[in-house]
Amino acid sequence: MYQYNHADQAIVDERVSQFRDQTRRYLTGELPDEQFLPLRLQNGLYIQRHAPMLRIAIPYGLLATYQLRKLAEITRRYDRGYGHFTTRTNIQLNWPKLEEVPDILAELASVQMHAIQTSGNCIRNTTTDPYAGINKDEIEDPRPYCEIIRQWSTFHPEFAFLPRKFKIAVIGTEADRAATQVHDIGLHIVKNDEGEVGFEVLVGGGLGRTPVIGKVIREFLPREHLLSYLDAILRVYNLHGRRDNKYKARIKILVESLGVPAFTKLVEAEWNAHSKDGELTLTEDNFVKAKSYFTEPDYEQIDELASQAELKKQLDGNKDFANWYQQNTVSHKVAGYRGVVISLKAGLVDGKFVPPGDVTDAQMDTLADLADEYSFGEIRATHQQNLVFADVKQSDLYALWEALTAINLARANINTLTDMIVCPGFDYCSLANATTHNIAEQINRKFDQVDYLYDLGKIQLNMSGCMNACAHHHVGDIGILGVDKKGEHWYQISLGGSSGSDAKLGNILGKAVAAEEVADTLQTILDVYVDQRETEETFNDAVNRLGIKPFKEAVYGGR
Amino acid sequence: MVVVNRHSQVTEDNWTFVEVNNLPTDVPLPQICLSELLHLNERPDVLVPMTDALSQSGLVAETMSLINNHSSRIGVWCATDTSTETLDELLAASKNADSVLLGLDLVLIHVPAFADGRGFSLAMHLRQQGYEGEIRMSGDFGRDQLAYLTRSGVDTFVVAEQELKGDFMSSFDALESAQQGRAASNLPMFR
Repeated sequence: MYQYNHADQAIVDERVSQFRDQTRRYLTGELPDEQFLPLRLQNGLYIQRHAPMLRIAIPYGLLATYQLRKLAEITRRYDRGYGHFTTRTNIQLNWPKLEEVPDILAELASVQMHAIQTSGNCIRNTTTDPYAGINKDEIEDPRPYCEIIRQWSTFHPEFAFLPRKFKIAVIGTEADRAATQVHDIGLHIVKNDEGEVGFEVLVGGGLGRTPVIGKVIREFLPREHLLSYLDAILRVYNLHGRRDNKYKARIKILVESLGVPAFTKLVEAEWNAHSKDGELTLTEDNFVKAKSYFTEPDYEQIDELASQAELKKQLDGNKDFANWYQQNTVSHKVAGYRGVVISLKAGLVDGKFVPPGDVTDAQMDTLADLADEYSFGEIRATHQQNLVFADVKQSDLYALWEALTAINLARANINTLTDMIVCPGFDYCSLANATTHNIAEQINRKFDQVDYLYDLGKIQLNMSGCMNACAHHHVGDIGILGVDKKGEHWYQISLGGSSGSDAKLGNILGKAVAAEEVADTLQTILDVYVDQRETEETFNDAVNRLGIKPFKEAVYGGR
Repeated sequence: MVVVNRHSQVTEDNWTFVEVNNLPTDVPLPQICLSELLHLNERPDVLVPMTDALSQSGLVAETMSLINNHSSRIGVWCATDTSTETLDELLAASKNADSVLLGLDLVLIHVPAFADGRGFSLAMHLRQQGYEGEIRMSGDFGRDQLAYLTRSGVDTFVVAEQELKGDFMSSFDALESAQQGRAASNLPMFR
């Protein structure tokens, strides 16, 4: 993975001392609220319902074990012994003290971590495919490009006070595991007829109050122009995006209001006039250098047949292991290896519900040890709020599974109904209108039969506690949105969304249901699916074919 | 109010705004009304609204030429809602021998609010277009933006004198190792 050099380290250290000074000036009243607000946000610091919340950046989701151990230590020392992974593949601390944040940032800087631009109206953490580099069908590994974008966007002097936040995602395969079409900019690595590598550029996707799927503004951008073109898009947005209304300030609104051709024209004009072929142009040497940080780990030559035979014995001998293998591991381009998804959706542990995406300090420490032992000392965070060990030997799977089971991180539910994306909701977040954890718990209690969940197949359930849509409810196969009705929490359900290569927004089923009825309503919906599905038809395909009507009738009947 | 430059120095300054209706109420530099200007013996450096300075004909253009005859240097000011097209027009005029803007010395950008980041792009645009004169900023920017603003091409800042006490000037040095936003070769990995 990318190793910070002296320049990166200097930048992170300088940022810590800058923020320490800003915090001091704020606490002594020298720095006014309206100026401290955007400054603290750009250091990942929110003021939430109970306490500040600190969001720590994990660039494109990639963590080294020494960094994970540092996170564990920080949550022990400065917080309540756990962290929460987010859909931007960052990690949040819910209970830091404002005056201790500069110390936390200094601790993070010691392992080249930070909270830079994890919030605020600036360019946020670039995200990517959690299986980058291990995909057989990958055109190119997206991580070197993510790193180039990280360096360009970090402290870009021109784009720190944009009309609104700005998110970029990059993928290198046709399959989209990074929700690129609901990003401000989605970049798809493609090859042209000459075999040259470049990007298909999508702009103006986003969720929130006005969900929009991104539009292609350039089918092929030669890769050397990556930064100059991004610069041009950002400048057009910075100058033309609305600043009078925060709900209309995202680039998606600008693209929609100008229309794609007019927006594209502005970008191309800006690019051709100023930045194209200028000093932001990347060279072959630059790409070689960037790629040198993401070389393959030292894979062993594995006797595939022997390895398979051994695995088969283990799978046949243990149903739980077989389920986990089936649900939580993915294929790998190197024979004898698998990618392992670690479910952070443990559900009920000793009768107590674990919020999706939460990991304790002890779990982090053990995960770091396991990653050192089984996956080349590297961990990845996913947009579904899970973790990935990308390079595990097939022959190590059983031992890893046992070790994960011992710390309640081997629930075999990836891509099933209980592998939910859930925001912290009203319990923590001051923006939220409704609680989410109680509903997630209710769903976990109701749908506890694994064979039933496996029979339902792939269902992505996303639940947000308000229309800001942090949990991407619009693009879940099942989306749940918490709403406030006269002080009571109600839940609006939508069906048929997708954040994959077929990205689309779900259709709203009908009026919101009461909190205590959510799981029962899901049961009714799933019964319709099971009843009417065709052979091998996924839930999403069935909703597509049947439309919303049969589900609506089943749920609301004559009501 | 004083003018501070990017090298953390308070500078001597003689620029004066010519009074106009749309002058923001909080502009901090001295102002002069047109009739006063016409009766002055010396010829001061004056700041006029950018849109007026770009007028090609009519009363506004005539007034501009009058101002030109009674001033040493002309600078222009604009707010952050100025378009890049207008800036391009301005730069074209600054190279036009027939324009009052020939050899333009100063562009002042007035920022209405701390979070309004358009000034960064306007300054960067001017620099990318080859403008070599002074870019000055006034209004509601904050000291924590000075480093980014200078990197975007701003030279001088109009600030209240009481702001300068303490370590105000150290803000110019914030994040000094960070990239300038202009060259790939300045990214950490390629240095």
